[in-house]
Amino acid sequence: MMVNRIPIALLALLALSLFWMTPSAAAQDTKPLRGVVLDELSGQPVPMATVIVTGTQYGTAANLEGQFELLLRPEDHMLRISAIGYASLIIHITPDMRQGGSLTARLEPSVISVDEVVVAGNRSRVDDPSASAHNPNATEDLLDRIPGADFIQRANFAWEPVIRGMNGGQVGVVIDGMKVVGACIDRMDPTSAYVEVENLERLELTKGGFDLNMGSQIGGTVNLMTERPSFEEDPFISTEVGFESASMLRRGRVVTGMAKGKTSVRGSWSYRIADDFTAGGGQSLTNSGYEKNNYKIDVTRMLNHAHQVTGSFLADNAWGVGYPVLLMDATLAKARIGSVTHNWERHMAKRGLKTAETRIYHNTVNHWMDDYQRDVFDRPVMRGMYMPMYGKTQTSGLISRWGFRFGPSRMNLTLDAYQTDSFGDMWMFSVFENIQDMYLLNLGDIRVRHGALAADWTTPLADNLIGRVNVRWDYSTRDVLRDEAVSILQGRWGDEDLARTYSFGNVSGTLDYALNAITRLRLSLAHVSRLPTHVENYGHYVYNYVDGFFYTGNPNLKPERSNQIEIGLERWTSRYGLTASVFGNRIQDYIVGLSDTGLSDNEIYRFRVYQNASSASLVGFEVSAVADIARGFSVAGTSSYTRGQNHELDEPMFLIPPLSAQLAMRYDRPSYWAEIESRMAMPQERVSRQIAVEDVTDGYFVINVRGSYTLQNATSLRFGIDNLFDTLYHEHLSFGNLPNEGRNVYLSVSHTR
Amino acid sequence: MRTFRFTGLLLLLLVAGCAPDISETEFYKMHPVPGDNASDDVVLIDHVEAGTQLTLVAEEPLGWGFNRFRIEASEGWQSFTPMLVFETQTRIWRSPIEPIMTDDSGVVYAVPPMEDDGTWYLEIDGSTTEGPKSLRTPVAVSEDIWVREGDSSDLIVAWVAPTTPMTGNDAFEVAIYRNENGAFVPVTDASLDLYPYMDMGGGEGHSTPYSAPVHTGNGHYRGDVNFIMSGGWDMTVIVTKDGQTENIVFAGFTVKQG
Repeated sequence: MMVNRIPIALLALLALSLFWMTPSAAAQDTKPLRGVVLDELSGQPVPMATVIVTGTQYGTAANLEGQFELLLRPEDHMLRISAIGYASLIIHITPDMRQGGSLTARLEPSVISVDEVVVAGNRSRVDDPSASAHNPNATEDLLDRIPGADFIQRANFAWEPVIRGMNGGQVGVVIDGMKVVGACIDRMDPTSAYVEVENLERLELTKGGFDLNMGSQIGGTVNLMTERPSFEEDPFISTEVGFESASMLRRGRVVTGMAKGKTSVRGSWSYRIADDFTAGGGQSLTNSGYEKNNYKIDVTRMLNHAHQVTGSFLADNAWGVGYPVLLMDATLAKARIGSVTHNWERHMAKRGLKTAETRIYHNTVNHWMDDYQRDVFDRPVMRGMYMPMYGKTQTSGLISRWGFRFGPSRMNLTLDAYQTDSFGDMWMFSVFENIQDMYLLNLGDIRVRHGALAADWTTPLADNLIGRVNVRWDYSTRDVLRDEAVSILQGRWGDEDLARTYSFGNVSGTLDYALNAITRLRLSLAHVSRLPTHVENYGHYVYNYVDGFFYTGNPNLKPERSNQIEIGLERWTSRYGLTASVFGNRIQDYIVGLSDTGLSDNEIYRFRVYQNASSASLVGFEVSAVADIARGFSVAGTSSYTRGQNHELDEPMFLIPPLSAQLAMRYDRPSYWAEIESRMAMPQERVSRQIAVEDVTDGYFVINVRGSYTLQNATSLRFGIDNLFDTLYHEHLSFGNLPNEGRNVYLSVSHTR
Repeated sequence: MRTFRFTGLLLLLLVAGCAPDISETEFYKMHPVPGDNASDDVVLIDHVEAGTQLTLVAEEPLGWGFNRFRIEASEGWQSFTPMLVFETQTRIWRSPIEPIMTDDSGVVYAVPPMEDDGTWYLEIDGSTTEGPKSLRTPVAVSEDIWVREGDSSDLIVAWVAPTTPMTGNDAFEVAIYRNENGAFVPVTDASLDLYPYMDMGGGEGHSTPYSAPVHTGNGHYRGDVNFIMSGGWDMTVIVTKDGQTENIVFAGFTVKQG
């Protein structure tokens, strides 16, 4: 075991960061940066654009001619420039810019709603007027602030994203566009757990099926875009240590990087350890601790002014992960993700091919679970037996994106291809001597091969109207390679050949209409499908902890089809911002588990099989707003609601979050900031009784306070108290009504040299 | 110098980033080593004489129920008929032979439960180019679960297939006889149902998908059982004949990984 080495290494690295590296020599300069923000397609000024130093709320706004001035501070490294109707732009601050240089920023029109979280420095800011300046300890903290995004919580670790009530195979989570398939058949290892905050440059979240470039999903896509080495920064090392009281969490992070000539390198390492956490009212949750480390290394080689090649390797290990409301815990979860990326850009191109990015990748995920630390007699199902489970996946793929410009129009082409092999099994060792050892093959070497082509066309239709059409064609084959699994599934389905091929097209369209310079309306329509997952196709008696049923896959499933509509409004002035959207989603061939033939004459073992048995629909809204009420003071709020109905069974859909809201008041100055925030949810009484055996969830109201103080530009203190009044509550999407953390006092110190 | 420091730092990160060794966790300490499902053949007769050779091999040690033999004979043997014989001080009993059960691996013999004291012999009557030839050797036939007698009837139900139950879809076959004064008469007019069951301990358990066997001839009934997991299983064969139902239970057999 290497575990004992880690705290020693952490201390050593902290010492190194403080005394080893030479401090950067950036000097304070009193000349402001002068810039102008232009529309990349038309070349016209973009009025009222926001220019913010990433990781802070320090910044300014452009005037009606798109011009701005900003005095840069030594600790500022990146600027983020955004405006409604445009994709935000990240710019590394160069020494010239610090010395009163000029900047021309060209923003690309964006006609689809993409919630974007940009991470840098000590804080993050969500591309939403109401998002608070939150301290991200984990990637989940960033997603948590986006209205319409929720989580399935199985433990105090690795939450699974839910977007507008869609989850599992309905939501795509990719890392730099790469497909990473979790190895746990019970979805205890969501892909979002593999990217730590220090490696996250930004997080893009699209809701619904309107953006088809990352995949064919009906729920939405989370793209975790990781940091790359920079050629524009001095060698640096950044460290952070932190503590949280609710779980006695201790953590440390180190990030370092340097560039020499045409090569730039970046490395990071982080470590977290948490004990059992305490819920509201002092209730301690046994088996809820965990331990985790993560490291990433990137090397970029600049071949010439247009070509770059980057090699990346990310490793994530989590062990001793407790799942207090489930039957077992994760012994070890390992992910290894490697890629080689080639980037090409024709900087001055006005027409034709402008950018190209091609990435070849390979990743493996291994996941071990067991219940050796549990009292196996004291549970309602699988009494008196230990059940170690193992799963692994291996994915190799290629993703290539080509960006074209045709005058005022642009087109992006995407080729997305991958192959995934999956395996999962479970032993059962009874404590009763007369019961033999049992073995269950959950996934018998399932191979999925997938290829897709996507085209995304954006063009101005009139002076104040932009149109976008996104089409995608998917082709997927899948089969079972292990003889034992073939025999089992053939016996179940009576098919000689279990191989299946899917081929289908998706299309979405958006009209973006500018009512005036600060207000835009957006109408989006989509007809999209999503493929069954490999577990839904070929899983064999996979135990579902939500409803207690064993699920069998169905090779004959059809893709889920969805027709969607979204109407959005964005308005952003120098004093307030507002975004709002309403959506509707009609799903056909809805994939759910329905009762299987009677394999059991008791209520302990219950069986289901995946079927396209239902149609369903979802409607909802998200609204968020921020207003500056005085110098440094701002008020922000969000609210979201989703209503889901399973029409065939005439009951609410399961795992649908209730009406929820957040309201925060902030005070922000260059060297410190403070925030008080309330989070609330209404009771969820619309629950699924037939599909998921859900129960009603009470509403809750909690108060959080937090702040930060920067010392001598390079050292920051962050502190706060979540759940100030120690309220005992749980979210509707928490498995087994797992309560949230109680009062949680946290403190972290970071230092950069 | 800076490059050296940086490289050293990266190496330190790599070392510090190691994960626990899974082989040192309880997960693997308690994990069974996957076994070899193949069983050794049992050589019952290996007779060499005057340039001829006859070898008779059983796939499993002989036991009550159906046993599969594999016979390899050299060219000198013109014909041969193997036979299992049970001898006591008072009688001789010869096992029924079912040549229709011949498959790729040999001949299947049904051995009913014999509770008297006696000795089993394997006999071969045949002819070679030299003339008639008989071989006889004592063999061990163990008590086993693969033949069951009804509690309230004179039915004998013998498990025919699968000889080695495996996970996955298995053809399930039984042969049903009526014991009429030592003569085993095939029962051809029964209707059957099944109830496979896995006892998971603590009073819990479950079944597995199956189809009810139907008569295929000579007292044999065939259906399908899809054993969903390996381990210990019970199989109840529910036989209805002449309006009477009898549950015949094959208890505690092992299903291996397919």
